[in-house]
Amino acid sequence: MILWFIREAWRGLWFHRSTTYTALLSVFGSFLVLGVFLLFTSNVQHALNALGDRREVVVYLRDSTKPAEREALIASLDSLYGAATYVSRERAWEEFAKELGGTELLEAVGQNPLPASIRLKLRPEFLNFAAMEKLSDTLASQPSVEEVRFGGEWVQRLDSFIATLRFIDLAIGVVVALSVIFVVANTIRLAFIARRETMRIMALLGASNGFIFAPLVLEGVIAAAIAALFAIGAVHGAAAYLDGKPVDILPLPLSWSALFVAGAMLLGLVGAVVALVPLTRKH
Amino acid sequence: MIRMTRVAKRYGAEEALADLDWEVGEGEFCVVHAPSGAGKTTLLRLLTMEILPTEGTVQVGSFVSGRVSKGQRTQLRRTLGVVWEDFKLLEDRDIFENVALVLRTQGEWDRAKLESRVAEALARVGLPGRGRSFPRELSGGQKQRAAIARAIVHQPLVLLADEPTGSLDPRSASEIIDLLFEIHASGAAVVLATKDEPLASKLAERVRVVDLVNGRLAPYVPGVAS
Repeated sequence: MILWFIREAWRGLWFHRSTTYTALLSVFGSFLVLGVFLLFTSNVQHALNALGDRREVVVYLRDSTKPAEREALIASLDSLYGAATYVSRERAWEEFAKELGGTELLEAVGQNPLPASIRLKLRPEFLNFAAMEKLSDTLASQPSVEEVRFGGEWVQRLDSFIATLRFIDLAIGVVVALSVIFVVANTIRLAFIARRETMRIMALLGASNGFIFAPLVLEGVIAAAIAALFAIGAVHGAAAYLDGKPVDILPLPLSWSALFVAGAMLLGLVGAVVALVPLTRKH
Repeated sequence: MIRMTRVAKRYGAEEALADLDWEVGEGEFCVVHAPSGAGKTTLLRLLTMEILPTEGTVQVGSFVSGRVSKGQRTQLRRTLGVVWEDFKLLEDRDIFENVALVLRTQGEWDRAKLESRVAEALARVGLPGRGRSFPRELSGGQKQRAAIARAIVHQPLVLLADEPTGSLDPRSASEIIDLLFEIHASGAAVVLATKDEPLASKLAERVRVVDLVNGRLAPYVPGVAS
């Protein structure tokens, strides 16, 4: 039964090819814009995630901290927030010396002024300013902690950039969604007008409204899916072609592509329903 | 089977039917004879409840206008077969799909059953093996036969025929009339609307013919409603 309705929808699309091509082209254009921007977002997000991986919290310990207290703190940080690594005063000194390129200058100081610390590589859910600030405040109140640093301003800017990017994605998504709904609704309305006599005959032969309108709804869904598949194909093709010229471009993740096509089908469905609901009342 | 009681139908100020009383019994063959524009099509559209009367009631089987919902109108049409002058076959599909459509609207999806019932209907109207032809590949007479196959495939209680011979040559027209009598003989009531005076006159020898004059029905008198 479902197959028959799909075949009816396909027959409708094929029999009214000129209307179908126009609709497909318009919807394809809208989806292409969204697809290109999603590709851009996906790549920027990937780059930012790589930067985000380097975001860490450094917890400086008081000299008076006992090994047992330190180990307890490390275990607690490890289990709650991410990977905690202890950096002793000696190791901090070595690293510092290495960064300076020698120990001659430091030997003049005569003693090691650097504190021991715990470097905390946070789990993804804590890689935002609000969570890091909260964590920093919590840790700073611990008796064994001297100071907590996490490069707040930098993290905040990164977060704000990601938020802006997501907002632009959403805005483009909304505009594209509305335009797709509009195009699909108009196409289905035109299809309805073109096939009014056919539908009248079907009704006189005993067809219910559901029987008559189901293929039209499917036409909206199928047209949107085809346009989305072409758009996503074009985006993948462009990504593969432009990769390494001059920057590396990652293809859109498969899950994003699948969601893209599923979302497109949903928009097709909404467009068709928007067109048909007022017509079913009159029919 | 069919009962119209004090039925009037007006389109704005124009009166198509007025104060019309009419009955067609179960299995009866009744011909409505009237010139073009006299209200034959309005009468048949009232029977399919595509339109409702302005006054009075139309009853077809257990369905009564005024009390009938949209869903019940669909149910009513599943008990009827309709044949039009211009055939109204769907051009985008073959004859098998045109005929099978009626069965599908009634929930028959089994391919084997569809094939056997459509083949049976096509054989009955003299079009065996033409299921895969498209309407554009058939002559006028063959198209009307296919339309009749579509109208009878679900074994309707009533067959409504609106000028079924109007666009056919005399030979094809005669064959179609014979076919309608065969269908009638198998138990269905037939209501045939025609403006063709010689046809009405010929049919009056075998079945009841009524004239539709000034929106009212009257016993057939040759030449009155031409």
